[in-house]
Amino acid sequence: MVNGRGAMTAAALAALLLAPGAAAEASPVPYGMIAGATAPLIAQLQASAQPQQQEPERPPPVVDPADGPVFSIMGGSVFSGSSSFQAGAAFAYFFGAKANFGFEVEGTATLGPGGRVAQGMGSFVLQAGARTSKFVPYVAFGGGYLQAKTNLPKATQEVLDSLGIQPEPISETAPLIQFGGGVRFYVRPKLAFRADVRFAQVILDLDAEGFSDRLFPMRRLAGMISWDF
Amino acid sequence: MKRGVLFALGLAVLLQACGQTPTAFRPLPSALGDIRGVAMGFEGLLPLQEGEGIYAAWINLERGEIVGLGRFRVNENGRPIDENGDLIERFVADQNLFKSVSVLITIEPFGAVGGSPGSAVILQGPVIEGVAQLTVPSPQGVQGAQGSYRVFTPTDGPGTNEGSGVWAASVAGGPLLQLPALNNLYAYEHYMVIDGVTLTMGRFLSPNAADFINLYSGSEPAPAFPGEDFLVNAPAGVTFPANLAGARLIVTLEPILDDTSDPSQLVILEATLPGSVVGGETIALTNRVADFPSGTAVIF
Repeated sequence: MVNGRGAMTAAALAALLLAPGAAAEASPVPYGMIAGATAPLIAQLQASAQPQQQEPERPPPVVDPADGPVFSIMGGSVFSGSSSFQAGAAFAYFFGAKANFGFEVEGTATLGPGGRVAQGMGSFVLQAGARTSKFVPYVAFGGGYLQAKTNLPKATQEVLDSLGIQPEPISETAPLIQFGGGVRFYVRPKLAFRADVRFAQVILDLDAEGFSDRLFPMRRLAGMISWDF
Repeated sequence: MKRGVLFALGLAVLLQACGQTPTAFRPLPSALGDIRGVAMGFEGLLPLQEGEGIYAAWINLERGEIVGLGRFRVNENGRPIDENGDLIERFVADQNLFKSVSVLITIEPFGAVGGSPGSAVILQGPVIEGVAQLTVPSPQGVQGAQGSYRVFTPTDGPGTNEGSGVWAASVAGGPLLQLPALNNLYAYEHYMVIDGVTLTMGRFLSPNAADFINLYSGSEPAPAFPGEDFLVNAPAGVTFPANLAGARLIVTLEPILDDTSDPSQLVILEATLPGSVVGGETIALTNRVADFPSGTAVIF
C-alpha cells in the first residue's frame, strides 16, 4: 500500500513537473488521489506546483563609451538655398577612460539641384563620457575642403548658350571651417543611431573687400548609424 | 569640457553671424540651389525714349514675394543695358531665386522704380525649369483682331472736309472693328500720325462704343464708335482741317495705369492711308500682333 501510494505520488509529481499549470487548473484528480499523503509531502508538492516566478526585465546596463574607433555611415540634407541630399561615411577615434575626446574624419558627397559637391572634413569631438542614459551628446568643430561642380539643367544651358553667356568657373575648390554637435543613441552596447547638425562657412576664392564677404554659409542635418569597435 | 562647450558655442555664433551668397556666379551656391542671377534677352522690345520711362525686371517667388532685379534699357540687339550703356549679363537678386514662379518686365513711366512693380506690364512668363519665355500679357484672342475705319467728318456737318476724319463706323451705323474683350491690364487707344506728328484719337474699351475724348473734332454730334475728326485745336506742326493722305493709323494696347502719352509698342492694328483721301474710303487695318515683343529669362 505504501509502495502503491509512493508510485502515485511520483506519477503526480512527474505530471506537475511536465505541465504544472495545466495539471493544477484542469485536473484536481492527482490531489484527490494523494489525499492521504503526509503534510510535508503536500507542502512539497504544492511548492512544486507553483509556476516559477520570472525576474522583472531590467534595462541593459549602461556603460561609458569605450575609447577606440567608431565607424559611421550617414545620410542627410544640406540646407543652403534649397535642400540637397548628402551621403557619406565617417571614422572617429576616441581617447581616454571615458572617451570624452576624439577626432573624426568624414567624406561626403552632396547632390544638389545644380551640381554636386564632394567634401572632406575633420572634427575634434567632445562628448559626455559618463553615460547615465543611452544618450551621448557631443559637440564638434573643425575644418575641411570641398570641391563643387556646377551642372546646370539642359534647358538653362541652352538659353545661356543662345544669349552667349558661359558661366565661369564651373568648378571650384574651397576650404571650410565648421562647428556642430549631435547626440548618439545606443540601441546596443556598440551600435548607436546618431543625429548630427553642422554649421560651416566656406571660404570662397573671391575678389572681395573683407574676409566675411568671401564666406558662404552651409548647414547640414544628418542621420547616422555608428558602430563602436 | 565646459570650456570646450563654451568655445564651440562662441564659434557657432561667429559662424552664423557672417557669410552671404556672393553676387558673382559661383559653382558652390549654384550646385546647392542658392541661385541669385538672371540673364535676359529680348526680341522686338523697343528702346524707350526720354519721357517714356524705363524697363524694370521682377521675379515672383513661390511664397508670393516679388523680388526686384533692377531697371534697364535695351540695346539694338535686344540685350539689357544699364544707364551707361554697359551690357547687363546677369541681374543679381538679394534673395534665392530657386523657387521662382514667374518673371515680369514692366515699364516704370516716371523712371523711378519702387519696391513693387507698376501696372505697365510689357512682358511676363512662368518659370519652368529655370527658364521663362516672356510674352505680352495681351487679351485673349488679340491675334484675331481685325477691322477698318471709314474716312468722313461727321462733326462739322455733311459734305465739308470729308477727308479729315476717320471713324470705326459703317455707313449703316454699325461697328467696323472686331476686337477681343480687354483684360485688367490694358485699354485700347488709337492714334493718327500726320506728317510725323502723333495725335491720339482717344482710349476706348470696346469697339462698339465711343472713345473717351474727341480733342480735335467739331461741335456736331459724333458717332457712338471710336474715331476722330481733325478739324480744331491743331497742335504745332500740323494744319487743320488735316489732309490725311499718307497718314498712319494705329490701334494699340495701352496700360490702364502708369501710361505715357506716346503710343505703346503694342500695336495691334495698323494702316497707312492712301496718297489721296477725299472721304468715303474704307481703310482696312493689318494685324501686327506677331510683331509684339518677346523675351527669354534664365535663372542661374
